[in-house]
Amino acid sequence: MRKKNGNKYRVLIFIIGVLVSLVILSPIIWIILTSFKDVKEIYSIPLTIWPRKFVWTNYLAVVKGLPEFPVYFFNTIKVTIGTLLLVLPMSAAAGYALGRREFPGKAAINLFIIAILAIPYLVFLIPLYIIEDVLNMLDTNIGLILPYTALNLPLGIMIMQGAYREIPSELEDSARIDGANAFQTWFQIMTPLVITGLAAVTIFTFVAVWEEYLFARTFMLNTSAQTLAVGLPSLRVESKSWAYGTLSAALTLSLLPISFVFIVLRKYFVEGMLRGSVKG
Amino acid sequence: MLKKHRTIIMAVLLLVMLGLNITSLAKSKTLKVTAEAWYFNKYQLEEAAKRFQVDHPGVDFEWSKAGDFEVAPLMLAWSRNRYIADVAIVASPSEAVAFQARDLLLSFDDVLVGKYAKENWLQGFLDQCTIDGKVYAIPSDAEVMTLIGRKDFAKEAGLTDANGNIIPAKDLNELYSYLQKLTIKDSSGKTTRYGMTVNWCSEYMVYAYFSGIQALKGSIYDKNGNLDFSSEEALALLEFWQKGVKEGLISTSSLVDHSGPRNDMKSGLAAILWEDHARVIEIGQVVGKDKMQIVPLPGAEKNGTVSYTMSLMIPKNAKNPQLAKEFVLEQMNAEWFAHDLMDRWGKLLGLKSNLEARKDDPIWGTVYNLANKSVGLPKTVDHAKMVDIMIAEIHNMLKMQQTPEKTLANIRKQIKPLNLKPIK
Amino acid sequence: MVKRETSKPVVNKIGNVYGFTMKKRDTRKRKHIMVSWLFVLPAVLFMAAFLLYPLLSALRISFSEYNFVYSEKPIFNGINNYIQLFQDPHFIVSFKNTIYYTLVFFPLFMFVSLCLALLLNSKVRGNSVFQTAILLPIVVPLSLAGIMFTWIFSQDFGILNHLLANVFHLPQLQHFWLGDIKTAMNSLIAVGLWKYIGFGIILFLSGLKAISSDIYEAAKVDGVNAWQKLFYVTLPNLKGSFLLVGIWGIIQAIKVYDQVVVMTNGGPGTATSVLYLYAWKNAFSFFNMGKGEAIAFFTAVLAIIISVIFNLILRPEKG
Repeated sequence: MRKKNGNKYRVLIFIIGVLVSLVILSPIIWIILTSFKDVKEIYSIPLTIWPRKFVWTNYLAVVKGLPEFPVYFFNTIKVTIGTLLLVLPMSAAAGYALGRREFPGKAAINLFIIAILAIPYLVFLIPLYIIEDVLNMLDTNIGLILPYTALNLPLGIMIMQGAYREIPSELEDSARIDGANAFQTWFQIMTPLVITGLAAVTIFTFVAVWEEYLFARTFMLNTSAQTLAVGLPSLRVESKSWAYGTLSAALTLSLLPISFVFIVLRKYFVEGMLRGSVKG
Repeated sequence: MLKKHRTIIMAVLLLVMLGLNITSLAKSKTLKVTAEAWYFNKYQLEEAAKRFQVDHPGVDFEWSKAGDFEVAPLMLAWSRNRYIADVAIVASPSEAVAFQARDLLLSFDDVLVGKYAKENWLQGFLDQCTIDGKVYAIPSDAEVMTLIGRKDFAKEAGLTDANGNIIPAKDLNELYSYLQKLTIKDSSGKTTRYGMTVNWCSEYMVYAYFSGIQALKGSIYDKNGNLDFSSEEALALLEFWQKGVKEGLISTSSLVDHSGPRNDMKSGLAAILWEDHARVIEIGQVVGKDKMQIVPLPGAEKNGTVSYTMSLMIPKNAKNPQLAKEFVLEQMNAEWFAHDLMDRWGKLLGLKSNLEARKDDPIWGTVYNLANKSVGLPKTVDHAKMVDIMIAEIHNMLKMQQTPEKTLANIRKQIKPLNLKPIK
Repeated sequence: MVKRETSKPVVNKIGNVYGFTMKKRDTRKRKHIMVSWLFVLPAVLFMAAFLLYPLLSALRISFSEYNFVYSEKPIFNGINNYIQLFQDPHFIVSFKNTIYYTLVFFPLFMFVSLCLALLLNSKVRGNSVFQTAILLPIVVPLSLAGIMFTWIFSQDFGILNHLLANVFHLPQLQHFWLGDIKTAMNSLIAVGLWKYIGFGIILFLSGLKAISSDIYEAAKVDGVNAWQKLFYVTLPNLKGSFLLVGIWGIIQAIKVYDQVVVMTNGGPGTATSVLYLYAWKNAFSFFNMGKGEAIAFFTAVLAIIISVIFNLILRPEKG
């Protein structure tokens, strides 16, 4: 009897799950369907949901009419990787010292990190703009990598601090007895044990950088330096000839790789974020 | 092992750092042109460059595409004497004020002679590029505000003459009756075809408003020489808009979507468009050019309308300023260049002769007359702020939050502290 | 791989904080401090250059008259910018809109995230597929989501109105979603929810996973039903998550910007003008950096105050 009840309950949850998934995915599905429609069909009343005829013209238009598309794409990747290359070693090093060592100034650093996490990015926007202008970094990839690194460091350090703190001190002690210096202890003994922490930092930083809009919009005016999150919306506003057919195709193309990565690595992705959020 | 890793990390960091330090070594004879990215799709710049190279051998071109062009970064770069480009194509000449305020632009006066003498340009356009009597920018991608009508819909509604052309409405009351005849509603009272769609989105709000004022009373200024937010014409215009929206005769699709009005026209959801003339080409491509007609705003045949233009500017720190001026005049104002732009996108350039050549075409004939009588908005320090206030207040009115009187009063109150003195 | 049972935070047992004997204490201590600082130095320098310095410089600008175009450099003008804010109707509206956004977004965000986290925490068939679908918006940039939803909410060509009229046969519910002052903001909130509930779910999930199965076993022995289990076992153990999700959600709501720019740019009228947007406009459209920065600090203080209040509400119950 108990089992029967459980089954009923399970079916109900299953149905809810299907419905919720559909609702959440529907905007993306709709954009994909639109991208295969002819312009006339897109602007026809009443609308069609399923394309009457699948056409590739919108994708061809993106490939031919938007030479910037691969540029946006690779900029996004370059900026993401550049930021990660800076955030990971710095937050690991700082996280180790803050998590496992006592030294004067530690409390001040931690306080600053917590304060920064609560301050909206907007505050930094104008001074950073002026700094970047002076240093000639506007419209360059590095001009996004540096502020993104700074903005993602606090959370990264918090996560890594927690991760290092979890390691039993016996390991560190035995390393010291073996004569390893502090850097060796950190890099060779401790860091391999916090791979999950590093994964969490990677994921949080990746998601934050991939979609960042405010800074990218303000600092990157030349299309040669723009990222997807900024490049595509500016097409809609300015190009004046980008109808929703071509726009949907461009959207589909830009969401495809990241969605694919997410679907394939979803398990690690969620695990990483789960671990990260426990400490964050 | 540790060292190896550190070396790798350092190497990667160094590479990243190097990436930003590689500055292109400028050749002595390179013309660098910067504009928003879409501009390079619309304009035949490659072709212009080729033709220019025939007359001026040894000149290279470099294109620099911007996303949404904001004036601030250019200003900053130029005021710090940083080289950005020889020719910059900037959204509106009112921004030339900002540049001139810091004395960053070159005047074109020395080359505006002969074929390019000032009297050979459409005055409304050139005025917008003039500060203190000197021309600091060359108009480009210019448009005049007007009505664009669907002849077939008008014919059904009995608003056309013997030749099937729409008879321009004499005043707002007549235009209102047009809209009543053109609007179609279903049994539930929902509009299935609007009489008119107006672009009230972003800058267009200001162009739409002042084009109405100019057409109705022949000036965009009040008795004191300030921008008019107090005359009876201003009130009549706002009342006309609000009533039209309330009765379901005017579409409000533009309140959030810049392309809303265009899409209304393309799908046959509206019969008349109040926007810039250039849309006639784009819409014609979807619904048929023979169905489209440029219809002057009520009074515009006599009083003119508002025009606006992008502008070509040459900064003082350009590397080849003289060559840049020659390129701008010889190619970017050549007849082939102008006509290509008109035919494909409906946009105008500044020289009268290019438009005169097309005077016999019914569409360009009307545009020519309007362009000749058009005026530009004044260049003011707080222009952007005024646009923001007008959008907020007039949108609120169109959403029936306040009366037209209250709207004008609110605008007057909020623009009081602004610096809106026209810079002549 | 670290084993769970050994992974409790370890405080140095001997009470010797620096981990060495008393001999040569001073030099060792100095060395220890130096090495510790070497570890944190890159990050600290970075944060000093790109966060602390801008923060101080921003504070100075917010107390200055600084027009990008017309001023050579910032001129100190006291709290003038802040005073001006409260005389500016557009700012007041933006403030109210931001509060409205937060008040509507926040409870929905908490509720929906919690429900979906409970759903995904149950071991039901297809769970991994649901998880993929429900969490996918995490990787969709909000600005691109904004483009998608502009199209979906479109009055005449939008799928939402089409579905309402022709599939659900509720034509009276058709609406000009983004063009109506009453619904524009709610539409933006919907987009924000679509994008952010994934994060909320994950934060709750980590809380749910942390509840030890012993508690549930004990509950089972006591014979409680599913609802009792939820209200007397699960929820009380999620307090920490509530705090975390709550503060995270509040900050996301107060900094709403991306979808507003892309979808309405503050319109119609000022119906969707929010603090972030208005600060940006002041700085980069009107070139009034001082006022832009004043709004930014106002927003920061607002975020911190609301977070602290929220913290105070949840904390006492925690003990």
